[in-house]
Amino acid sequence: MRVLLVEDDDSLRTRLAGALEAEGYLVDAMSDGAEGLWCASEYPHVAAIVDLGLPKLDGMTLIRKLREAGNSCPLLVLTARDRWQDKVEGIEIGADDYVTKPFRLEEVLARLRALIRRGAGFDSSRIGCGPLSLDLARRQVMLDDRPIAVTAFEYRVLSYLMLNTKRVVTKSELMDQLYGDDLEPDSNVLEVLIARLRRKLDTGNQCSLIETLRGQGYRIRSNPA
Amino acid sequence: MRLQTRLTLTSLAVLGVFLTVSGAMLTQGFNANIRASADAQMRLVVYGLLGSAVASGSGISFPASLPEPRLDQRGSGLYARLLDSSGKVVWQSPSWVEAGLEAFEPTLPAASGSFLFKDGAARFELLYGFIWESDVDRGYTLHVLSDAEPFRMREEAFRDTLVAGLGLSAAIFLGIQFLVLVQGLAPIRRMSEAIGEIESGRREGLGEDYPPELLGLATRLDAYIHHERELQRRYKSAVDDLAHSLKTPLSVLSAEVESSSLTGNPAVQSALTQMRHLIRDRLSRVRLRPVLGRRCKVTPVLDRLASVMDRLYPGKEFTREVEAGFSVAMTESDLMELFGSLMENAFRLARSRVVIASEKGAKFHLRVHDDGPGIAESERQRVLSRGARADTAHGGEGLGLAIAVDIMSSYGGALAIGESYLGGAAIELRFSEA
Repeated sequence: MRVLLVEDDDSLRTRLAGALEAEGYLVDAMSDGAEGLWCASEYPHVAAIVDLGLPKLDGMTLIRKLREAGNSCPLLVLTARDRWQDKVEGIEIGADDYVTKPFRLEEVLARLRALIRRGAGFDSSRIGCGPLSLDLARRQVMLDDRPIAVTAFEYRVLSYLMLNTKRVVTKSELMDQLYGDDLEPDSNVLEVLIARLRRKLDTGNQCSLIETLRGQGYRIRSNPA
Repeated sequence: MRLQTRLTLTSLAVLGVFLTVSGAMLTQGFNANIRASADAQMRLVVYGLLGSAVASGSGISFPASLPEPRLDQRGSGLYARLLDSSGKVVWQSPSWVEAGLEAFEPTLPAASGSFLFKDGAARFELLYGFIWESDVDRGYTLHVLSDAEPFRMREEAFRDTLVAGLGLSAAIFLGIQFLVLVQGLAPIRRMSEAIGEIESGRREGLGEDYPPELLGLATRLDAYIHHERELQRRYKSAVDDLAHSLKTPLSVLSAEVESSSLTGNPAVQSALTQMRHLIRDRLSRVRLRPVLGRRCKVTPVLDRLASVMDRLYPGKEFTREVEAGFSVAMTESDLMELFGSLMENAFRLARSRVVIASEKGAKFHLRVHDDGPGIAESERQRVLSRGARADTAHGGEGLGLAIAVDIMSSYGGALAIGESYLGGAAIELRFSEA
């Protein structure tokens, strides 16, 4: 899952990006509002973390421009402004949640998970689709209540597909969730990852849990039988 | 005491003294004038009698028809008689005889050629001593009496007129003085109202629309207010900047600790928590600057917060049972801070429902209800103190209720915790009526 992080403080950005990557997210870490706006318009993100006090383009303007452009990705605001007036204004222009500074990393990660889950229409941190379930908090994949070991890349692909069960996910969208813009993706990597996941998620049925729609992309099959 | 009352009372006292002294002097002058008039009239009678007197042997006699007809009339109020030097009555006017004034004992006969006027209670008395040319050895005194009643009546009439005149003058004076005071004190009243508007935030300064006597004061007050505002702004800005610039490094420090071996160290965690509390606590206190005299409608604030809470806590039902016109003496910003803190607490702890309701019959009471676990009676005092929290299962710094208590008390209101009919906590807010 690809997450946008826009924070101007180098130390905090590095630390947050590290914590997010450790959680399995692919992180686009930007240091100012203009970069953040560009990145958000270039790549699909499952969520964005935006600091309000940003150089070049402040966080409020960035959020407003994203919403005006039709970007509906869940937005978590990081802010040193802890007045309710500021929080209300932030949420009214399009933010989905806020964390006030100083914060604990654990709180930011928990809020982000909740936002991603809610954005995908799930009430609990454990999201399910047929025999397959995914615990976003523990980053655990279960098949018929049995834990399945997956790599970080496999987790990114699977979690993105599960968060988008109601639609077809294109190959390029999935590739964007796997690689940052500084890496040249191998065109066969995705097929390899999907094949590995299909093997790990083999339920013995004829139909695979991951459905391929030729020329369109992939989709999690909610009723494989 | 009001300045206008003070000036009016002082004027009344001065006016009272002035009118009393003036009245006394005018009365005295008028009475002297009355006596002089009586004296002059009686002298005319004396001259008339002397002019009509004729020698009669060795004595004096007066004609049957006296020059002053009133001396002949009974009860005319004018009487005359002639005494010799031994005090023996030589002649009496018919009016004297008929009035039966024989018993009247005059003072000693006047010296020759001189008048002696006496102001008695009932009558004026004039004595004139003279020597008759045909009887030079015997001195005579002409004794004239005049009833004082007509003069006393004139005195009374004058006194009545004087009292009415002075009373009317006093009333006109007081009326004029009232107008002068109202007009004169108007700039002070205007300045007082302007200060009230500055206090309530409806005005920036006093302005310059004052007479020269007050303009200097208004200008200096404006300069002082501006200076104080600037100091406050700088102070608040410095505290804000300090807090803001501490928040990001503290977040970094917190993140570093969380990802290091120190994460389980209770001393480090406690120090970090304490620093977080200090920053938020001090900042919220510095920001809390109640503006008195300004009212704000509650429902628009509740509605804005409700839509925010709906986004933050989806699936939880919110009911507002507060009339649209419900307003309290608080700024919109502080009202939002108050209800933001309380509603976030309520939504965070509620299982499915939050209600904000005004109390029936109580104009300034509101209750925030939730169907959460509630707050045990033994815990209530503790959770109202800064940094304490009733639950430990959710994020946040636990300052919400304490901030709400601070806001309420700074505006003269009160906050109490009770039990809700929904099964959870009910936060009762009693707003000040002012």
